[in-house]
Amino acid sequence: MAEIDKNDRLDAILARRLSSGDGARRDNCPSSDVLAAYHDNSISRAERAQIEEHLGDCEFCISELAAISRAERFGNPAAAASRSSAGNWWLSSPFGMAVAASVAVVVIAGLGRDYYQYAVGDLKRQKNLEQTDLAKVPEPAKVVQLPAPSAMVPIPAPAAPMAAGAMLSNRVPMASMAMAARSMQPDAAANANAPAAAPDGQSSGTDGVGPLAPPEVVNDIGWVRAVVEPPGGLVVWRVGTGGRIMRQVDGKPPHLEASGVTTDLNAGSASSPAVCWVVGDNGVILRSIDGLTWEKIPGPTLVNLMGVTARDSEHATIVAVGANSYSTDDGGQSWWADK
Amino acid sequence: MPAGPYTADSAEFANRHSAEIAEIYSRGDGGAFALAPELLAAALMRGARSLADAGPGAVRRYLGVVNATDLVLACACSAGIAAAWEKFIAEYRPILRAAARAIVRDDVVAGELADSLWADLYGLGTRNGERGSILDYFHGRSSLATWLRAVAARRHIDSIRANRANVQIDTVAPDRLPHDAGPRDPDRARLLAILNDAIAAALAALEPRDAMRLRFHYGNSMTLQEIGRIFGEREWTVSRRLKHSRRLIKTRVDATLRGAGLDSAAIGQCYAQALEDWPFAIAALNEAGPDDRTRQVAASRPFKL
Repeated sequence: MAEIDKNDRLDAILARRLSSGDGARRDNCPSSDVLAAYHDNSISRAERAQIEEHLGDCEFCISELAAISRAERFGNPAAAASRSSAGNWWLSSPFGMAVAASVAVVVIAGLGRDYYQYAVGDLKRQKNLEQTDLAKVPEPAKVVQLPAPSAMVPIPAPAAPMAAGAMLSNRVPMASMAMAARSMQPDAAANANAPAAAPDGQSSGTDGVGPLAPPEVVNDIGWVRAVVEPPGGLVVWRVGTGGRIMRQVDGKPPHLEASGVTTDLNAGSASSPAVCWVVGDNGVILRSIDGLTWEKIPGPTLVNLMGVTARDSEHATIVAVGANSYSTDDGGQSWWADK
Repeated sequence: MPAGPYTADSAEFANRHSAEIAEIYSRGDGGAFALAPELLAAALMRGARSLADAGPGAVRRYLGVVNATDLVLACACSAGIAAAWEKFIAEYRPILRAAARAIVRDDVVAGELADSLWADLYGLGTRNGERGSILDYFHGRSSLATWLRAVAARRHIDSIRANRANVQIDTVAPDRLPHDAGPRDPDRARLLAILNDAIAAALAALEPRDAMRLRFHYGNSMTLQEIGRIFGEREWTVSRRLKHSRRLIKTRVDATLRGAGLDSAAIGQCYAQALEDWPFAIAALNEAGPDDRTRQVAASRPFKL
């Protein structure tokens, strides 16, 4: 735990140092023309290396490159969507799935206790769900009808307490981690500030339970930080600033979904058209198991989360600022730090 | 070995590369705008002169890969050809607006940024006493869209830096001011100085690309996916490299601190103190007289570890 704290502190120090500006001065910075050419990868290898020598030490140019990249991405949603789906190639190709499954089998076989834990945990979860014991399991996400935005956010009940012997030694129970400090009660302010609903708050069949996204949101995609596509490609989620989540089915008009948070969402991963995990700033983790409603999952850290890969509704790995990654195999009830 | 700046004059350049210039003119459909070929040749010569390595091979490579369509359009706009402006406005106005919004994330400021750029694109501003469009600085080495984004990004970032440099103490919210550290602890200050130097040295020792990833990630909050796109890497490669870089930094910093006599617990404490005492400029601030306070705060912002 001390090591985790130390890593988090180093992350915080690096984040402050590298975002502070440092009072740096422009010194032999390449022109916008050259930086644009670097971005477009249309310069020679020698010049590229020369520019990277400069970029490694120049906050101005790095910030510019970051801005160019973001602007390009948000100015070209179709390209962004296609690139995003490429990130989960192993989930979208049969070969990749086979490889992933093989790796999982090897890992499970190599870690007998892990397999036992996984199997027993799975049975327990199944039993719990059958008994609908709300005192022990998170409240399942509800399909909430429209229109009032403040009433649309399904908030999970406090996470189930972990049985003392139910975790492996390297696992950290949610309650004992930094997450313990975070309230899991409904966040009225967040709900009140939830992304704007369409004026008429209408819904259209099974395409979504949220309001149709107003044209200004659909057209202005400056808020989008990630485009998430499950295998199959019929459904697309766009997630981004202000806790916005927009879902689109098969090219039909997109719906805004109530995320229940107002923090910026940075990345997502969908294992099927119904199951999607989304992560964002301040350790926010959201999961949907019906593709329509979202629940806030207790996470292992409060630092900004920048990436997620989900295998299904129970298995996911999140990546925090600083590249610390954490995994869960029980839908976020417990997390362990990946080595 | 770089050949140095390209020095041929325009006549010599046009003569030496006439075939390439004609091909670029044709590829960019310069005839559609009735663009004078000399204007395109002049733009290409400016591009050749901007190359870091302007040996014959580099110039030919540049002429071989130049974005002909975009460069012809930029030249035609710069020359004030109405049809070119119509095309430019129709195609690039939405791109510039979207870019400004994505960069600034504030509709009002984004509008101002886009408008100021349009003024410079039209050539309403003066440079060295002469009016001219900033499109003259586009050399076709990237797409015109990327270049516009780069120009918008540079202008926005320059304005942020300029505003930061001008911050006066009166305008700094009390909770943003460096806090009083209470009685100064020389040992604590010494350790923080060692930590500062150790981190600076560890960062400087990174490979350029590793340093870039860290700056993208920590300094610009870019996602793994976004960083991966710049380097053509998978998210997990970026993640692995970030982890590797951080481990290197931690190892080097810890070794330096251990060399200063700290054990593991004390190192952890040192990290914690660094965050508590942020920014470190407090020491310099306390040593300055009251009259120097404003200057010191301005000089130390953005604060340096």
